[in-house]
Amino acid sequence: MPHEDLKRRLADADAAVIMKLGRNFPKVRQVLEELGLAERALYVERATMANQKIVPLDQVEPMSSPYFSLIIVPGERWQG
Amino acid sequence: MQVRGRLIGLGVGPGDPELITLKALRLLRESPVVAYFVAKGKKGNAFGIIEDHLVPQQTLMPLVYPVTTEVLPAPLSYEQVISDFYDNASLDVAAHLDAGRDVAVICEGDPFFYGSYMYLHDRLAERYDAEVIPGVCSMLVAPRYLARRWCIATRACRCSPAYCPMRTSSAAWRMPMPP
Repeated sequence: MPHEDLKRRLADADAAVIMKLGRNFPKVRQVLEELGLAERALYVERATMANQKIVPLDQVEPMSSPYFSLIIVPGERWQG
Repeated sequence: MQVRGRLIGLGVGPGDPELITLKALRLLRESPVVAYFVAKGKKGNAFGIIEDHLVPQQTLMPLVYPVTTEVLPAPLSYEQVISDFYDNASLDVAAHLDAGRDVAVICEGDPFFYGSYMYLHDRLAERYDAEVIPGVCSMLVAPRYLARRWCIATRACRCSPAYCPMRTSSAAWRMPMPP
């Protein structure tokens, strides 16, 4: 998904998940940084598989993410 | 007349072998044919999740992608090659169904949530009985690793794929890029 489309879609959301990162990881991280969401987001690679990896976005090697990876963005803190 | 087999889209979860449903496990073991998509030279993620649960006498049916992310020389196009592949795979699956054998097509995560199973379903479900067994997908696992709640009460959540279409944006939603 092109940078601007992704940014528009994420700007609309309270919480988000971006799937199938692969070689698009740098673009997605850039979008999240522009929206101020990168800090509270988390990178999850191969969830629950033996070789799973879960790190903050700034610890991801930009071109190393596989197809089976995602970024999850929690909504803002909200009293409910 | 021969009773035809059922097409079963079987979600096997994200990877942890304990995150498979009891229903999926039962149908997996009862299916005489187990089909799975796999990249060339790979074992297959879905297959790796369930292989310990297979029983003897089952026919294994690897459906090997002819292409994954590599660039094809003209006049070959990814769309055409992959569409032909799904056409042929559905014929192979249909042969088992016509012979009365159920075919379980295993799928990482959930079959109807970005699952490759859908390409067979689209080609076969109008002609054969099809059943889809939901699975836990990675998106539902990831929130547990957050230090805070993911989505709550009246808030909306957005799910997007990251990948770009190889050619035009109109084809974006039809472009699988298997591992």
